[in-house]
Amino acid sequence: MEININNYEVYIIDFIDGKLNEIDAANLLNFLDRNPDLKEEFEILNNSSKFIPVEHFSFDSTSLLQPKNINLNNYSEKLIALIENDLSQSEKDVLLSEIKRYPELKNAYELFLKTKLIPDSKIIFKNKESLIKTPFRIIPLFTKLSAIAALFIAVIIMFYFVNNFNSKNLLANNESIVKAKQDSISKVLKSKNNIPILLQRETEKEMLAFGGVNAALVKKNGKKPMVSPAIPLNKNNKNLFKENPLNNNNNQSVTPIPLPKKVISENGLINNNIAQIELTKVEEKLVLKENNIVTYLPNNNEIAFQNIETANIEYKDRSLTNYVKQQLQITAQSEVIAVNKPTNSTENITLAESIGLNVLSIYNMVSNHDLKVKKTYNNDGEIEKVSLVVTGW
Amino acid sequence: MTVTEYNTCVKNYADSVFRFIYKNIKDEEKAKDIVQDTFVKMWVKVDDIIAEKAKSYLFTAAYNTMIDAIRKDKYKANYEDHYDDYLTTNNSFNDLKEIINLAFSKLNETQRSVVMLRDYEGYSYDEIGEITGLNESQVKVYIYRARLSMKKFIGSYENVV
Repeated sequence: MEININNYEVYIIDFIDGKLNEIDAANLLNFLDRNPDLKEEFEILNNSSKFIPVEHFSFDSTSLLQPKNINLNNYSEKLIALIENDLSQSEKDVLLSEIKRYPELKNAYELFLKTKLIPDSKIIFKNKESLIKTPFRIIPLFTKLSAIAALFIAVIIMFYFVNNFNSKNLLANNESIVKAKQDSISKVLKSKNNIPILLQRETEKEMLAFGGVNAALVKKNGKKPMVSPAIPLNKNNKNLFKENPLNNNNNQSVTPIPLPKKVISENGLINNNIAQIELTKVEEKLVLKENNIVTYLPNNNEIAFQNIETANIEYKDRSLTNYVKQQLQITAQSEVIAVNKPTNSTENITLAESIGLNVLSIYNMVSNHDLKVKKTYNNDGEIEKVSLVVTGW
Repeated sequence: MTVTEYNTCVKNYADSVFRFIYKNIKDEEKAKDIVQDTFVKMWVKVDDIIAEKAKSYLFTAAYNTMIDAIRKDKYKANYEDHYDDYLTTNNSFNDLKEIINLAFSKLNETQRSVVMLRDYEGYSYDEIGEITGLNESQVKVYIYRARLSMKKFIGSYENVV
């Protein structure tokens, strides 16, 4: 039947419902092309097919609406593949042409296009600065421990050298003082005060000739001989001594102290005829041989204490001066001038000490420990002991 | 990877990773935590990571951390999410974007992840597979099903409109 203005509406409805055969559908499309106003009405009606799910379209082999290579079962997959760019160029071209040709397919394609997400640029991570790293690397624990151990060793070495350096500094500073005292002592001797004269011995052999008792020459590591203890003066040996300028009017026993010719050590300040025992902090200054016990008296260090304790000599509650006097069997106060270098309890910190203390404070900060320097003073105000106290280990 | 390259990764990818996580779990604070954890993990292994692989490392680590977080909170639920239909009476949407977001939220976490990695970052199927622990075929199936599901959802709303 020919399509005309009286029956075209039926054909349009059948077309939309998919009931038209191939020939009638072609005739309808030709009629609509000849009648643009009717074609517009047809398109309005045709677009209302949005309300009809795509699945209701029938793509059978007899329908003009059947796209090539696409059917109801695979059109979704084909369209998704097109969106995902999984088709070859030829397949893509074919499918795009069919999409243009068939509105239903086009609608489905547009819906699938909407499923492709677009990033929302407003969603950002606001605190990026917290993630930024400075150019430091993770330091292995072993490296940290090694650094702490090296710092600790450096602190110990620093303290050792600080103690030695400080003592030497004191010694160097005190030389002028000692010299002044020597001069004063000389003057005293010349004024013939009640001070025994200390005698010299030329050689060790001569000293040993006096019965070998308490010969106190000790040569240690090439150092100068030390002061010998008192040797009783008797008629057999008095001619070997210089004349004692003392008068014996005071009935005091004269106890000349033979001395080696040369100074004890670089720190010793033994001069001719002067018993001046310089006691400093540095190293051995005096050797006493008492009851066959050789006792070193390094000033104010633990070795001396140990030896003295071994010899059952109580030292701790006496100053070195008094101890020396006792050892030399000198009772009168003015018989021997033993000069202890007094040190104030608040001595000034030298540069080396301050460096050592700074290193120590850095170590404490790094390792979260609490190392302190502790100085122990004796009754004369001298430093007896310098030790490192560890707390919070 | 140098410190400079790491900082470049932060500037370039922090937003992308955050967006990826946030769109998945819809919790801004948790997303921030996951992003920070991810970059911390990356920093710890900074010497072992090649700069060219940094982005995929970030997304892989972020994805795994996110899955762990989701599984950990599996038995928890926000009141609003569960009773959303009862709380709102008007399901009309002002624009297509809201419809799409709603369609996207109806997907499971795996589908959401693969679709975002595909659309936001442009990863291939095998790259997505490396990040999510799936093979290429599985990724393809997940993407196809996700698109089909979203298309049906969007189409049903548009029919009403």
